[in-house]
Amino acid sequence: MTQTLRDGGAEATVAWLYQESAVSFIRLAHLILGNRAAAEDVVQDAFLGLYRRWDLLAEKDKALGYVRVSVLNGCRRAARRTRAAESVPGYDPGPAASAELAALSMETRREVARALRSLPGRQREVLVLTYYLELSDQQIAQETGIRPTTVRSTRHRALAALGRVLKERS
Amino acid sequence: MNASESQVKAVLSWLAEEITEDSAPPLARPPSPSPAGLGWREPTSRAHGVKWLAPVAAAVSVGVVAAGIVFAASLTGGAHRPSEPAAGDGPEVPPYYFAVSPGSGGRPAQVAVRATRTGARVASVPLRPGWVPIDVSVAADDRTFVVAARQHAGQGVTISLFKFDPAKRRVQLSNTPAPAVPAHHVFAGFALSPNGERLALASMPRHVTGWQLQVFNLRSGGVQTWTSPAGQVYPFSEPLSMRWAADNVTLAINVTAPHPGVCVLRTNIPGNSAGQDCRTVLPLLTGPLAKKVGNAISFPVLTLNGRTMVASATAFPGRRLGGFAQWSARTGRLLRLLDWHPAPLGAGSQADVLWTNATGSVLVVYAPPHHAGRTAILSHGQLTLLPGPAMAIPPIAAW
Repeated sequence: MTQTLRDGGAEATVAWLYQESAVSFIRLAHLILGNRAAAEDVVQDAFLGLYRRWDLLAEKDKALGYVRVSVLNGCRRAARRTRAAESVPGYDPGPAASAELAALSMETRREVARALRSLPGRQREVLVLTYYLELSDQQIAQETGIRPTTVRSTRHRALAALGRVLKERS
Repeated sequence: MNASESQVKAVLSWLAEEITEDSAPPLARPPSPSPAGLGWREPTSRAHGVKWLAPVAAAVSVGVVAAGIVFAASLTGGAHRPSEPAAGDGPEVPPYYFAVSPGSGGRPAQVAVRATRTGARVASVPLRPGWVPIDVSVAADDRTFVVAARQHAGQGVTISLFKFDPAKRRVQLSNTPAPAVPAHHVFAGFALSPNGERLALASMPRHVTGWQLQVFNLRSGGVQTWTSPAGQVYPFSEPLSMRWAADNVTLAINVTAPHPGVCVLRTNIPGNSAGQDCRTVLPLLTGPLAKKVGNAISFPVLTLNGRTMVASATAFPGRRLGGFAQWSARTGRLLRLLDWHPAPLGAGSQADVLWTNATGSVLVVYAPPHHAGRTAILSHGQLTLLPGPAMAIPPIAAW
């Protein structure tokens, strides 16, 4: 990857990076926004932004990091423009991702998904970065521009709110 | 991690799975002129394409909007379309090629010299009656070439050296003696060096495991032989599996065992062990090729400068992305994508690189994306289809 980035032209390299990593970023944006079409738009914009700024990018090896920050920023902008859909689309059950997931009933999954959607954007973002991307507090702080202590408190509040929402719905 | 956290983690993974591996839409083309053919999606009436024009229409004059429309039209137009028929034979491409035409109507297969520009037959190659050509290789002078032929399957293969005279449009059998493959060996492939003086010939004993590579000096009659490590079988899967660099010394060999890939042999260094002397530079199934691009469809072809290799390949099977790509012959790392875009390339495709210039910037390719069965010149992202008769599949032709 590093060598490819160094050698390729902007268009070829960005197209290549997109092919390789778009799904991961769409998933990330989808989890934060709860809207697939919006997620795809955010990721498209992030990669096109990368293309436009390619010549200005000092460390091209870190292009994917740049894209991730762009995607997170794009998600915030998109969330401000339109509140992400509250309703959870009809997810396919899909394969069980883990033992924890296997233990959850479909109804519980949907309840948790709805509860996640109901969280404020920043809280949902911190949960996604923590539990989906498995970033450290320090990394999340760098990605989101907030302090590590704020990351921890935001996550704490998010989990508490999630618990409350689930309790109310049950 | 407590139960709530585990639950959140599990549900996030479950939600993410809704975006399947092959579901990302192609990347929209940026709103500025850029070379075609690298995997950018053409704007459509869907949001991604239209939204580039929307702010322009809202903010600026009718003239700029018109320009935007013209731009959009240019994007959806023939940026990827090859010129047809061929306007010329392109830069650097040799004017003639030597091809085996499949037999039809009861006639046996034949070898003909054809003009690259028109595909027209310029001369026929006089083979002995009843002999069937199975492979052809040509030197850099576009005149000296060798043909491998046999009478019946299972019999030995004869190799003949020819000279083509374009002025007289004649092909003449050379007096230079050429090697043969005995009946107890299976012909695997051969390659004539760019100066026409050395012939690399690969064969496999029929009843013994292993293989051998012989490099014949056609001028002096000398021969050097490399043999495979014990127990190594079926290293070559088809003819045309070797290429020389312009130095007439470096030979790239496509092997399938023990590890599929490309190894490079320096034929001027004494040695006889193919396993030790042929250095693997491009492992096909386990190296960067498989990881970053997917499987190569065709065997990589060494460029004449000996530094890079080119081949047809697909990326992310299932996404129908493919074309041609270039790798370093020294490290095997991917260097660039050539004519790379959504295309119905996949398993079983016959897309192939038939010839490359010194740097890999100009290729003659077979069955490029959207043009099955056609031969074309690929130069700087521009595809120029070549006229000419159908070739054998896989194509047996040498430029």
